Amino acid sequence: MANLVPEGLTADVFNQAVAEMRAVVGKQWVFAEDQAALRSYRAAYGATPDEAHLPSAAVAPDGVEEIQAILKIANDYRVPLWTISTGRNFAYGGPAPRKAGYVVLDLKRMNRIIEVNEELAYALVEPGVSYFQLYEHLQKTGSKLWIDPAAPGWGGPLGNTLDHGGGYTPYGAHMLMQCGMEVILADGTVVRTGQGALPNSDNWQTVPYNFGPYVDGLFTQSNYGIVTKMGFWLMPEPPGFMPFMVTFPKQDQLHDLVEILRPFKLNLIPHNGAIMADLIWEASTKATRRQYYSGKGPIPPSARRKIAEDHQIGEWNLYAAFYGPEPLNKLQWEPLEAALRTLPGIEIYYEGDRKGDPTWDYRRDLMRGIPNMTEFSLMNWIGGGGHINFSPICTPYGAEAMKSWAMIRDRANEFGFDYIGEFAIGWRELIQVLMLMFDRTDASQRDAAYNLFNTLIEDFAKEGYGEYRTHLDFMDQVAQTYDWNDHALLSLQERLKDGLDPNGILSPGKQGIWPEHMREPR
Amino acid sequence: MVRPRLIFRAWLAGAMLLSASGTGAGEARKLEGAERTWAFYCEGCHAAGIEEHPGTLRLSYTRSPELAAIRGRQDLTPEYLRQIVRMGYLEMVGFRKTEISDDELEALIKFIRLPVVTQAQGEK
Ligand SMILES: Cc1cc2nc3c(=O)[nH]c(=O)nc-3n(C[C@H](O)[C@H](O)[C@H](O)COP(=O)(O)OP(=O)(O)OC[C@H]3O[C@@H](n4cnc5c(N)ncnc54)[C@H](O)[C@@H]3O)c2cc1C
Ligand code: HEC
Repeated sequence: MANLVPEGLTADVFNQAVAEMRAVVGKQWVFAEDQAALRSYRAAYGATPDEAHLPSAAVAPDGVEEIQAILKIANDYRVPLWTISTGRNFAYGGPAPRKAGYVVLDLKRMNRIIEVNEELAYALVEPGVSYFQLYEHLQKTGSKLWIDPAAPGWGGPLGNTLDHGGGYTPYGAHMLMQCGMEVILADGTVVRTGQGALPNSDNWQTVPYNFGPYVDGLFTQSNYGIVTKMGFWLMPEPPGFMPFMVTFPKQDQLHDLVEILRPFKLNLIPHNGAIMADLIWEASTKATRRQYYSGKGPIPPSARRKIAEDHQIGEWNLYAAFYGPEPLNKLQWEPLEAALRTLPGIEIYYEGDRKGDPTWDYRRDLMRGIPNMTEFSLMNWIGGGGHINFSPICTPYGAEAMKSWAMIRDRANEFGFDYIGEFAIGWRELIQVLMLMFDRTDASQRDAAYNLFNTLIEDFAKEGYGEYRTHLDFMDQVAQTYDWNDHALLSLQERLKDGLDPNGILSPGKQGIWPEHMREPR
Repeated sequence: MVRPRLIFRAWLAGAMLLSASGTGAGEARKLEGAERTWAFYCEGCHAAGIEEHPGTLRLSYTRSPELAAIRGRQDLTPEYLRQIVRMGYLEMVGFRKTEISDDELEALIKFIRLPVVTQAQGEK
């Protein structure tokens, strides 16, 4: 007997559905009574209590036929399913469902690396494949291809890409590198996108845009289908790799740094997405707040100076790399280096210059496709297991960067938190991430984090900045900010939802998209 | 060029663990599997080396530098390890049975509790 039941279902009906699911996948792959097993699906780092997102059950199919059978049961009984792959979406909700009581559809068992094509440099994988696993596979087979992991190596290419995630090699924009999908729709239909729809085609993983409307994007950050296979491109190992780090002693040098980088980035220099991390981000992988300041409120300037000195870091710290033949790397670095050197007080570091610095090591490894977990050390800055990410998009102008940084910093300080953040500059976009760390055992900090987050969503929307992705607790709030022309975009998304999933069984509320029977009037 | 931080040894570790722990072939296979579980789910945060591993770093603050690395710690009872791995604790989140099955968890617990000397030999 399950303890929790999905909204709108009686216990009897739900138990019947669970029994039928057991008949499909085997009873060891449905978790309903086992409370410890269910707790492993909680939204562990969130600002709301675990109970807000605990599932009623989890079901773990292996294979398309089993998923189809589960969909039939879910449609028959109106059971809401929440699909996860590796399920490590922490800072945005982990494996947990949008609402308590959903059944998690856990695809972790489907973890086959279906194909790695060494000549054309691509992979086709199932949902459960993790970055560590894919890395291991390529090492074992002697492949000369790199992966592009997100900072946490326990996540995976399929789930991460579907949430519009990113990494740190030149293949870091994961959506750009995605090519071909297999998707199961709510009614059980299996669809292959692009050239995958052509029987006997060898080009499923080589051509992303094809005949007819491009539909792959519809299945990302959405609840229109269950992705069971995804193709993506892998970077061939380059003949040379030249990572570097630059420290900037002054906070307002962010302005000039972004102004310098923009024209270079438009020409894809440096070759990967450059990261500008703030002082505390840098420090927290090797020190704690208490070692420098035990008072409340923002860390005072004197302590910041001490931190900078002790660890030879800047108020901003730029990480990026060049990839290719060494002489070419040097040639391309020269003009950028010259431009950066016009800024007073900067220091430049290369491979070998920061021996024993764990931050340099993990960033360098991420930039050359070696998965690791070191970035979690950020959570040790205050400890206590609270961490959610606020991730707004802004324009790569120095003034815009300064403005949006100050907006977050001031609000964070007002609510009693440090600014721990970074900017990632891509081709034309600048994404800021506030790593909001709090002590989850302290209810007042949890509430403050929650309120700060909501305030930031509003502040940013007023200035025309939206978030690229968000935590379960804030999906509705963020969706509501995209309200041009009377919410025309969300309305379109809802019409698609109603057409593709009329019973509203797939991940209700994902990204603020609700099925008709759960929709609140706007 | 660059030293991989996470070295996946699973496919060559079996024989070493076998001779080191004096166990039979079935048991050795389990430990080999356990080493892979460790590499995929724990090592990135809990390997020895306080600096680069968030779990080890955190435990060096909250426990002590001696207790910071969890491999080989005899004070971690199987019961406690079971509890922590499933339910998690603060920054350390729990692991689902689809990631680490009950059998794999039992093997992992044995692996973690192997005395460090044995592990050091296995690591060569
Ligand atoms: C310290 C720290 C650092 C981080 N750094 C990064 C970073 O560098 N880059 C980054 O991108 N993120 C980062 N994150 C955020 C997050 O942890 C990663 O993006 C992670 O890869 C997402 O989890 P996953 O890969 O296991 O995907 P999953 O959790 O499996 O999937 C993510 C979401 O996609 C949807 N989904 C999953 N599978 C399916 C499917 N088969 N069909 C339909 N929908 C599906 C679900 O809504 C799910 O919640 C970081 C988090 C932390 C805590
Ligand atoms: C994301 C990093 C991370 C991963 C991965 C991780 N842990 Fe942890 N673990 C921690 C942290 C951090 C702590 C300390 C808890 C805290 O203070 O937040 C911890 C605590 C523990 C403890 C308690 C030690 C004590 O002294 O009480 C055990 C045991 C443990 N982890 C085992 C494991 C095992 C086994 C795995 C793999 C299945 C694992 N951990 C994976 C970060 C991690």
